[in-house]
Parts: sequence; structure tokens; C-alpha cells
Amino acid sequence: MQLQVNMASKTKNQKIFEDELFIHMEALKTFAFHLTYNEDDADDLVQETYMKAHKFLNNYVEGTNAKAWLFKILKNSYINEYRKKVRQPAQVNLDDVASLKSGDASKNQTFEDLRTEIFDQSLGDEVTLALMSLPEEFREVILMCDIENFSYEEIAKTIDLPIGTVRSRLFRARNMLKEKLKKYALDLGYKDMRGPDKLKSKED
Amino acid sequence: MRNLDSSETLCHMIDLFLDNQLPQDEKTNLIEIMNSNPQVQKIMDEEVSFRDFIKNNVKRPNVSESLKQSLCEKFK
Repeated sequence: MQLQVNMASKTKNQKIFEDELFIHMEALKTFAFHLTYNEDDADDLVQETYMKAHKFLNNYVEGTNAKAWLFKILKNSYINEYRKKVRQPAQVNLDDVASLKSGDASKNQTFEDLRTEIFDQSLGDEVTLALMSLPEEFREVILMCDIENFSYEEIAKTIDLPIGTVRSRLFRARNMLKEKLKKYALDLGYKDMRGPDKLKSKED
Repeated sequence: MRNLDSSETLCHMIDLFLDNQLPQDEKTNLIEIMNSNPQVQKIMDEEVSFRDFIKNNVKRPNVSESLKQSLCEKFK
């Protein structure tokens, strides 16, 4: 009897995962990537999010807002684990130090190499670079609203902020982003119509 | 009803309109203003194109097949 209950519960959980949770994997990856700007860390965050979703699946009501629930888990994992991890001093492997001394160049990927790699990958990706340069609290509202189509209410619940703060943060974030992308967008034919003097000609 | 004389207020209204956060009466009011003022319509169009531009150009890295597979297997 107990076995049957366990089987039924497993099948139900599996169904929730397949029907409601896994479909948001790509969106979670995009969000995680724009928090960490590292593909491996983003994958780790996505994995951690699903592990926690599995652990706390009892807190999820089937058929409700799975995407917002997963985003909240991911954001909390990012704050509680990822940030903590990157704040820790780097661990030095003594074998690597030995290889440095022995001149084994094949084992040494320097910081310069990594920076060049990152720069090469980003070149031509102006939107990503502009987003990357925004403070995290502004970046996350843009990602949730403009990329993932969350409502203000969903954003407020996901990042625990009043709706008024979400509204004003979004307005500021978009203006910051426009400022950063101005030159690039102008080259593509986009014109910025914002600012106090933009309506002047009409008002005159 | 908000006073739309200042351009900053107007931009706020356009943001709220596009984010589907305006009450119906203010939505109607903004549409009327847009219809009678091509400059306002233009600001709206620019805002829409800016948002499309961001949405279409943001980097969306794929989830690796190995991760997809390992997650699917874990929760089977």
C-alpha cells in the first residue's frame, strides 16, 4: 500500500517536472547567465534550482506560476550560495604552483588568457555588454520584465520588493540601458525620444 | 487622471501602458492623446522598437544537452 502511494507521488512529481518545470529551463539559464556572466556557473545555478525545486516541491501548487517560483529559487540560490562562493578567496593548488615553477606552459592558463577569451566572446554583443554594465538590481528587473515578460506583481514577489519600487527601478533601468546603447542604437537608426526637451518642438 | 504635460510623465505612462499596468481609463486617455498627437505616437513607436531591440539581441545561451539529460534522469 505504502509502495503504491510512493509510486503515485513519484509519478505526480515527475509529471509536474515534465509539464510545468522543465519548460522554463532556457529562461532560467538566460537569467542565471546574466547574473553570473559565466556559462558554467549559470548551468550550476540552473541545476541547483531544480534540485531545490525537487526538495521543496510540496510548497508548489500544481498549475500555479511555476516560472516565477523557479526564478525566486534561482535568485535565492544566487544570493545565498553563488555570491558567497565568489567572495571566498581562491584556493591554490600546490601542483599548479609547482608546474609554474617548472615552466610547464601547457598547464598555465593565465588571467590574461581568460580576460581575452571573455572579451572575444562578447565583442559585437552590445546589448549583453550594456546589460552587464548595469548594477545587478537594475539588470534583474529588465531581464524579468523585458526579456521574460513578468508582470510587476510577479517581479515584486520574486525579488521581494514593493510594486512601486519595481516600477521606478524599471524606469531607471531602461533609461540607463538606453544611455549605454545610445551610440550603437543610433548607428542602427534608433532615435532616443526621451528627456525633457524632446517634446519641446511639439509644445512650441 | 495624471497630467501628461511633462515629457517624463508621458514616458512613465508609455512604460506603464506597454507593461500592461495602466488602469483602463488612463489607457483610453493615452490612446486618445496618441491618436491626436503624432509626436506622442512616435515616442510610443520608439519605445516599442527599443524593447524589441533588447529582446531580440540579448544573449540567450543554450542549456547544455548534458545538463538537460542529467536533470531529466534525476527526476525520472
